[in-house]
Amino acid sequence: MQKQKPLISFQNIKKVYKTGDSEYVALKGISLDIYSDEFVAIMGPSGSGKSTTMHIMGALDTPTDGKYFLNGVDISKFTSDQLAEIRNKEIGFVFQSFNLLARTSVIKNVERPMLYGPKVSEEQRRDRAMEMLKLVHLESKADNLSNQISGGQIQRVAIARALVMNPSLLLADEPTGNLDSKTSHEIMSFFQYLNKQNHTIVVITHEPDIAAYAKRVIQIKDGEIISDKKNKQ
Amino acid sequence: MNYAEIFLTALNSLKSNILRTILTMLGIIIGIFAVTLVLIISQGATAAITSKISALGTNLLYIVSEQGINLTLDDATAIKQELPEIQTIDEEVIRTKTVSANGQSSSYSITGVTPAYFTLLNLNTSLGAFFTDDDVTSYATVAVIGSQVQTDLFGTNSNPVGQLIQIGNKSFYVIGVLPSQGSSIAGNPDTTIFIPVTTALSSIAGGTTLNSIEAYVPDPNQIDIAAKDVKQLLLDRHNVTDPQVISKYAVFTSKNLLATVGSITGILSAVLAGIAGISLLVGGIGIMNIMLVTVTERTREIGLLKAIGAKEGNILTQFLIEAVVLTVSGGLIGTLLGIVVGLIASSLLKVPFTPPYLSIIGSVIISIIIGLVFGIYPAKRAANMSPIDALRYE
Ligand SMILES: Nc1ncnc2c1ncn2[C@@H]1O[C@H](COP(=O)(O)OP(=O)(O)O)[C@@H](O)[C@H]1O
Ligand SMILES: [Mg+2]
Repeated sequence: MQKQKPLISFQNIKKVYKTGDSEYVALKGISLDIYSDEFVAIMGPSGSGKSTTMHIMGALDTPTDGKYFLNGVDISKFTSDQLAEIRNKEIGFVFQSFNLLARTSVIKNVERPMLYGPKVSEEQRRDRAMEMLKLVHLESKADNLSNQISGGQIQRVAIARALVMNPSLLLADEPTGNLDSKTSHEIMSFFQYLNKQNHTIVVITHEPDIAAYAKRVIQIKDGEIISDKKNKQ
Repeated sequence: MNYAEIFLTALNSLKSNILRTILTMLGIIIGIFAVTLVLIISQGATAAITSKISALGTNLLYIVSEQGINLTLDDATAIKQELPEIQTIDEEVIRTKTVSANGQSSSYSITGVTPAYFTLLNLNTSLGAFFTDDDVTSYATVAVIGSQVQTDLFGTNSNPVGQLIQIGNKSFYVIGVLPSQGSSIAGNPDTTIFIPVTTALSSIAGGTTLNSIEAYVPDPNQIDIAAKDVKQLLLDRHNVTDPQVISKYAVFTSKNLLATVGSITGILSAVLAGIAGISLLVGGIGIMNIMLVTVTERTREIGLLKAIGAKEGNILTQFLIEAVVLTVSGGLIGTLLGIVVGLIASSLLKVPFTPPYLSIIGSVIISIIIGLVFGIYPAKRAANMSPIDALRYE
């Protein structure tokens, strides 16, 4: 079963941040494979390099050294426009905060990635966005402005938008960081549900009970993987 | 990417901060407003002056006193007698004096003329009659008054003919009243009192110097020759030898007056273009400034858009369109304000109003250019932002 090609393959990924004269090694050589249909949590204390990992995985940044194969293609040397296309087609992001465009309706937020992809008619755009809003049970809020909905609803809209281009990977960086515990668990259950629908999901968190929803937990410390375990279901 | 959608997005983001949007556009609004207004007024004034000069006909010569050539009544007589192409002639002397009558008093322009003046300008009286050549030779103390003078001193429906008015310390009989004309390049006849030129020289102006002489040339083809002859005659009579005076002194015809107006209009346009350029430059820099602030403020938004797949070109286009929407709206508002104020000003100044189609198209084009020129730097800054720096920005 593990014979299939990995969706994500990090091969000795290093990331060095340069600020002025000083250099900071945020990732010291990370290697990992993630396969389609997996649900992975990346855990670690603050400053351990989780977000850095996620930015490289999400094609927002390129590694200083090492190779990153996404769907078998090495994208570690891609140009910024090539990376933008990868993000648009292959990756769906859910951030901790500032997920939605201010003063823009919920449905326009969900439609937005389609504006940067292959041309789709206005009608198709709306239909597709509506379909995604139904999936997250927010079709009734389609025409609300993004500041007229609750924190949990914002994260659900962000998930709808992340899925609208039918990406290979759903990447969430501390998606429950701003939510109360009840709403956090609702969101995580929803990720579990999506994973059962064959969506590949990587969630970054520092909370063990959030990581518990994943099928596999990777622990990072000081820019290195210190453990990689399957969760008992 | 879809331009209609970007355009709506741009409108949306401008709408979301109306006050700032308007403050940002202020420079452009004022610049385009000023240009439109000055253009309308200068066009109107040019049209008015041109039509009034043309209305004077192609048969008149305007001869004016200048340093070294102080025109006298003898000059006028000489011009008429020695130059066969000239037929009628009028001499003028103009002063402003306090005039009182009927217990009222006010300041008016006192113009000494000959009866030829009324004939040359095709004037008629509404009450009474004009004075005659005999009145001129006999230094008569008679006056023909403008309609406003009549209203001021005697009331609207009065008949002042036969009444006495006091000009300076001399009394004059009103013998005629002119109907209302409106102002012209020759002044405003409504607020003018006309008296015989001889009387004006001896008892109002003092001395012998005339302000101007107007001569009628029956054959318009002879007008340029007549102007040259008059100039030569005057130079001879006044023994002018200073080459500067000789080259500068001009006898005006309606043709060369129109040319003068044309050259003044040209200078005005150049000055206007300069002012426009400076104010639009200032406006453009204002736009660039605010756009830079906007880009910084919206760093998170830019990061988010990049995360969901916006390419550098998409971000560049979005901010450029925002800048252009900003400048074009500013330009249109400025044009509209300019037209409204221009309409009011034209009617107050009594000059014709012509809709400035060219300036509307011009301001739209200029606004687009300003938007592109001053929007490109902030837009590039937004487009080149690294997505992770933008996402980490607090
Ligand atoms: N742009 C940057 N420049 C310099 N140092 C950075 C930059 N981004 C992150 N770092 C540093 O790299 C380390 C890892 O950061 P990050 O990946 O955000 O950690 P985490 O998400 O686990 O809290 C931190 O010590 C952080 O200060
Ligand atoms: Mg982090």
